Amino acid sequence: MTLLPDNAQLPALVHKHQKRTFKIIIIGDSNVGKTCLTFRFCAGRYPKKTEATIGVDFRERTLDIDGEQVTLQLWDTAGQERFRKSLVQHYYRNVNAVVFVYDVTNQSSFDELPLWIAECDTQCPGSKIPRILVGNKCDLADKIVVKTNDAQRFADQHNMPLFETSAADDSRSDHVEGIFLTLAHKLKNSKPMMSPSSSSWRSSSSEDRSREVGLKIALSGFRVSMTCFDL
Amino acid sequence: MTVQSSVSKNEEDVEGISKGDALDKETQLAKFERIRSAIRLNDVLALKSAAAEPGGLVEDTLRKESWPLILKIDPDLVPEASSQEEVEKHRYYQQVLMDVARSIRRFPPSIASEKRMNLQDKLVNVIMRVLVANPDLHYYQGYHDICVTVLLVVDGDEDLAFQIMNEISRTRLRVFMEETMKPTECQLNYIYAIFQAEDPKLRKFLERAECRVIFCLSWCLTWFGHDLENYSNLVRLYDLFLANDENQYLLPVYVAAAVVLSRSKSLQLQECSLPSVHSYLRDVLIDLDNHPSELEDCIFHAKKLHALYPVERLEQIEAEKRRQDEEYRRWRRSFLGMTLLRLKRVDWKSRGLAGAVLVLSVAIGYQMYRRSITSIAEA
Repeated sequence: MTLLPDNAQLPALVHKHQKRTFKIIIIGDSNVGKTCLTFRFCAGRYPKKTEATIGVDFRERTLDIDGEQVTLQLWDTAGQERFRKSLVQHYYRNVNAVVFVYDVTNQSSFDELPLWIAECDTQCPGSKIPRILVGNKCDLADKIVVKTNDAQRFADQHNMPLFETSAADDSRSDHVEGIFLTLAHKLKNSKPMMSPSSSSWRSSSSEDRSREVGLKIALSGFRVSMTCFDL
Repeated sequence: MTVQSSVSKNEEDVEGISKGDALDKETQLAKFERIRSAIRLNDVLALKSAAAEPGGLVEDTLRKESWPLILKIDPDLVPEASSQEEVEKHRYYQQVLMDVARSIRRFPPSIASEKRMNLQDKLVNVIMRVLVANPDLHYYQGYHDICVTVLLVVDGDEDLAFQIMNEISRTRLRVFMEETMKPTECQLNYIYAIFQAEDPKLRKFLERAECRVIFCLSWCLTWFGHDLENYSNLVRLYDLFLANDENQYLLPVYVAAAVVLSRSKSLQLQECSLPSVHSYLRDVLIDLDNHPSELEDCIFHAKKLHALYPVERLEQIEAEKRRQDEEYRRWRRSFLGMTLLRLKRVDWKSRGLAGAVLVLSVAIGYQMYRRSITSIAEA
């Protein structure tokens, strides 16, 4: 597999040919490291100076997965509740995957997760949109308060894989990469029938079925890769 | 003069010459004197007009004295600081701490880290004092971006920064500090009325991309503090926003509109989606930040838009648009409208084919009609 870093500036024409775009929203409390995670994946490094996100920011990266160009379009959302409340429908419309992030050194960011998940359930009722849980800031080893066991139990309860990682730690940059690559594989294999530019599902029933089957296959593959990436 | 002020001054020294529309050295000196004397005479009108002109209030030493006069603040009336206990139990305290800790980009790079940390502490104090003094105001992420600019302009004078922030939070920023963001959205939505009047195609494009007001959210909520890197550009905009009549808080929206309108054509060549619009406009602002004369053009255009379309006019425009939309919806529901809309969806090949068949059948029908007429006549 080869990786093509993308600076979000590719001409629109490219989008029209052979390139699928997946919309992924990054959700979680303020200051858990959503911006840093997406920056690490899209720019390949930790941002020099971070700041609060106002509203929502967009980053994207195009990957070559098994010969197919797949663009992951990351919606980096603001953590403050007032932004979430006003923009929430925007976030969830036509979303292809949801990444929940908490800070392993901040218990309340973990305790808030059920609220985020409930919101996701309300916005995408009954949908099988892939979700993953990411515990960030693992490099701050002596400050960790959220135990892996508790996080794993919570993740299992909500039927999503858990990744504990650090966007700041250069030695773990492969790990952040791995999380999104796994997600990209999962999305690519789930064969979402969407147009390259609008990223919306078509609603024909046969396609829905094939999507579901694809998801199940992808999910089994995902569990395997999960054990590879889990710390 | 402090570190940050001298940084801004150096920047202006360098740019002053290359700026097309901005002030050259001589006029800058004359303006400096003009502002000085306006401060001496407490001539608020003269200060307001100087603030709105190209180059604004020229430099931070003048701003520090002019802003309180424009806002009718008495710097000698030192307000009481809130108790630490009151501050720490405030519902937004943790959020403020987190946002201020992540505000390093906003301080001049040359500043010593100790001094920066000291300013960050003051920044927390200023924000919390405003929040404690005004329990009906709610903190939003981005408010700290405005506070940090004010704190830098007043050279770290915490009391003065509090007085200025307290004043503008109750007036100009109040709409952003309501409990929810609904009023903010309503306010920013006026940008669509401006587009409707100036460039309806642009409005359609942004609506099709389902942008709502997200593309100008950080611009307006932070008075461009979140997005402009160049300190001298930023404070120049702040001069303009403060000089604005206190009943007209929409100037940041007009500036945002002028920025988007300035690149309307190339924007509409981009992919019609929110992420693409958002990143394109972010780059536009970076570009304007690097070309102060173009930014000055945008400000000039914004003032023109402001004069042309006051809020009442914008409301009329929106009401008219709603009426037109309603008419269109009614037409669409009618039989003719439905048929025409369906025809619109048919591709050109089929349209041509259908057209040919129609013309042919009309021709045949006409021939048959003529023959029948002539046969009747012969009979």
